[in-house]
Amino acid sequence: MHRIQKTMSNKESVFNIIADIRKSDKAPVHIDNIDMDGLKDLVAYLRSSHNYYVEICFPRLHEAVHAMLKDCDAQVSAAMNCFFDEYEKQVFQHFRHEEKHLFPYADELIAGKEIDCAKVSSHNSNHNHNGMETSLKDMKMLVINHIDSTDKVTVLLYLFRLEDDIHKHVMIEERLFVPLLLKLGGNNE
Amino acid sequence: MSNHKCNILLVEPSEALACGFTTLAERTGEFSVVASSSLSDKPGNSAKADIIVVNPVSEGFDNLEKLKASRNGLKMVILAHENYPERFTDFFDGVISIYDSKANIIKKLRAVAANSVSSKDNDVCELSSREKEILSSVAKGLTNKEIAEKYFISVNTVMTHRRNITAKLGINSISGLTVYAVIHGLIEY
Repeated sequence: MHRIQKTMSNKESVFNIIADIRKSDKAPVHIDNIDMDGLKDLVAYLRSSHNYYVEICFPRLHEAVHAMLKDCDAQVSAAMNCFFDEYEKQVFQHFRHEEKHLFPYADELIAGKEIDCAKVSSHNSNHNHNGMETSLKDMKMLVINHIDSTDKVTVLLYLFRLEDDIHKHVMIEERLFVPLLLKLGGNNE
Repeated sequence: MSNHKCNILLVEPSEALACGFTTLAERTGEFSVVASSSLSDKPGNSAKADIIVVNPVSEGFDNLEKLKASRNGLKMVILAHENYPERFTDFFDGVISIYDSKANIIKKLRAVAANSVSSKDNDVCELSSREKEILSSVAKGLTNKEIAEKYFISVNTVMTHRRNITAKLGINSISGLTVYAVIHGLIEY
């Protein structure tokens, strides 16, 4: 958190909006006062968030899932591990898509280039988060109702946190990042 | 057992049969029967009913399947004037023949009512044997059409079964359903 604050040039507005969305995903979002520096900070925050999920959250969850399944039947363990791996792959693909297709628009704007706002909107609308959310919900239901292990509490704790965290991350992208890209890119619709 | 009476909506165009059925069921003190000549007569009645006992001739099996699928936990029993192929009646919660003995009719109604109470009390319901068969086919990667052909049922019925499975288990993705099937020994992984 300190690092985020320190790297923000347009500290007040961008940091406050992120904090507001993290507190309530229905919080009003006003982007009128955010300029290019704010966008720079925001895209740095989003890239750092992706790194946090990939390098810290998922390995931790992976470890907890392995511990939970260690005494389960081999077939159950294999099926559940495979399901978890698929989910992880889905989330990472989602991150990669954003890093490859959305974040570069921010880099171009920051470098003073023009962007095609129609392409930003189209990338964003083709990129939905429903599949990721469905898999996470299914994993919770399976762990809660059908896995018999004393270690499942840790997995559930991580899953609930991850669900909330990713939901808010998605809200920051959809309600702050994309509208800001479109505003700074000259699309005033 | 609570004192709450089980509400039956009887859909039977024959007044003589409706009258006889109502007397028989209400005499036990366990059921409250509202008789109607058709389902569209008073739509409010079907919303209040715990069990719908229906003569399928006037309504059509397809319409009845759709109505049953539209309300989770609704029990539907066929009041049969003749023998119907199993593939028509399989989807419903029971079949009462108009030639059944009085004791048998009450026995069948009680069995369905008991099921109806338990399904309201438990969020995670047991799957019926047909639902288990459909689920294992889904997990094995069969399409709706292939499943319909395998069990001699319509694609519509397969879809309704799938909706019910998802509603009962709270699991939406095929991967999640596959893990459930492995955990419960319905398929081998």
